[in-house]
Amino acid sequence: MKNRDPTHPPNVNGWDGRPLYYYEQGVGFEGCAADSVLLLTSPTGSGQCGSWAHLLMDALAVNGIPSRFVTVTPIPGPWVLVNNWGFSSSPTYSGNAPWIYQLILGLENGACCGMVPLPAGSVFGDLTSLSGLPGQNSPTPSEKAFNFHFIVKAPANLSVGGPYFDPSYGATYSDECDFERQAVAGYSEHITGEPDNYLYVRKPFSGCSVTLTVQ
Amino acid sequence: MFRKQAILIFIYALGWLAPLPAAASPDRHVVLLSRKTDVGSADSTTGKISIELREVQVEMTGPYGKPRPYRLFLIFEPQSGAFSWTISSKVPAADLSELTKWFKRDRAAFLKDNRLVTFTAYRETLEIQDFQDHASSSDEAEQKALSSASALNDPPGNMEFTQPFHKVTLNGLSLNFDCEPGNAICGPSPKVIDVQWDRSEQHWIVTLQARWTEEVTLDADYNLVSMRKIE
Repeated sequence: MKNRDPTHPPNVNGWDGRPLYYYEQGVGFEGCAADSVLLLTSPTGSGQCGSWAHLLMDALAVNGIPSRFVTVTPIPGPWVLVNNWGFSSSPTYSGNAPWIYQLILGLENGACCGMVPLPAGSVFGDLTSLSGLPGQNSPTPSEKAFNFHFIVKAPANLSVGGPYFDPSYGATYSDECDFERQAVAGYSEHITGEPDNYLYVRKPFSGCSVTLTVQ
Repeated sequence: MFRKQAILIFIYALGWLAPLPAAASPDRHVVLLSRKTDVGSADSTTGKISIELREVQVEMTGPYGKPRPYRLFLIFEPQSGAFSWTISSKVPAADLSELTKWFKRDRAAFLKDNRLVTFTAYRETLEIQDFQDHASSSDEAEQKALSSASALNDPPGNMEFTQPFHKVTLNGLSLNFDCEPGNAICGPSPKVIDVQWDRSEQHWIVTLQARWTEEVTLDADYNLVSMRKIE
């Protein structure tokens, strides 16, 4: 991973050359595998971050290297928005700083919440989904708003950087602040009295608003 | 422009939106865009009762002083005249009965002491509205609600954050209640499937359904007393 283009993930394929995707465009949460076996065997070949984390752990384990599954959780939560997003210059909640932007996610199969199908103009309230952040074989992953993200912690004696490895985006992080700097466009909270998919958003500010829980 | 003025004149001619009391309405710009009415049910100390559900789309002054669509959701109990409401920024393309469907699917209301109390769960939080206002009809309730909303809309654009709610954090309830481990998003928020008032203990008993069923006991002031997994 050290010598690759740092702006793009390595775009992992199966042994038969079949591409494996991190949220391929048009495939929502339900169509994306949550573990490595399902990622490798599902017809879509599309997986959530957890499946990619498990796949990396499996690959490391084949080489005799133990690793740890890490949960990235926004605090106080519950949503983290991964790059890249455009923000309206006239936000809906201008008087509610820093939570000034309105985000309306879609319902996927009637259940909250997701970004598939993509609405006209990729507009979700005051936010517009822009291209990126590239994931595995997925220049703009279909989902970019999460309650959790899953990555991998390599053992300290491996001396390969990190120590946190994010196989979904092909990135490494030194700590939670580094994750926020590289990946986070904003954080989102639920609007009281509204259905689940109505949220307000703030941009990141000093101090990291994620925790990394190593399992 | 002409169409909007015509609608406004039509609305006032029908008396739907009588001029709002000046003292309670810094924002006098209220234009009715649509109204949908339905019926639902609530619990009470004497059993199930029928309630009216009304979803009203209005235009009011929003941020930067610009007109903006809002939606009022009104629950009216005709016997007591008790009512409850919320108002929020509306998405132009949104389903005109979205909040009515949401109420029927996930939320619950309870009539106690002629007050309508609504219960909504969001993740590990219970959101409760306890309104004491009354009206002689759902039309009057709508007018009162819009008047109150108008008063909250000062400065314009942040009504969502000034409405009164009791928020109960369900400490001790595992994230797994509505989040399947290993998934990047949680499931739908818990549904409030039953609300009862325990007269002898003076407790609310609220039953939530997500990945399992949880019974939450609150005191009369909506403080958390206990929780237990019941299946």
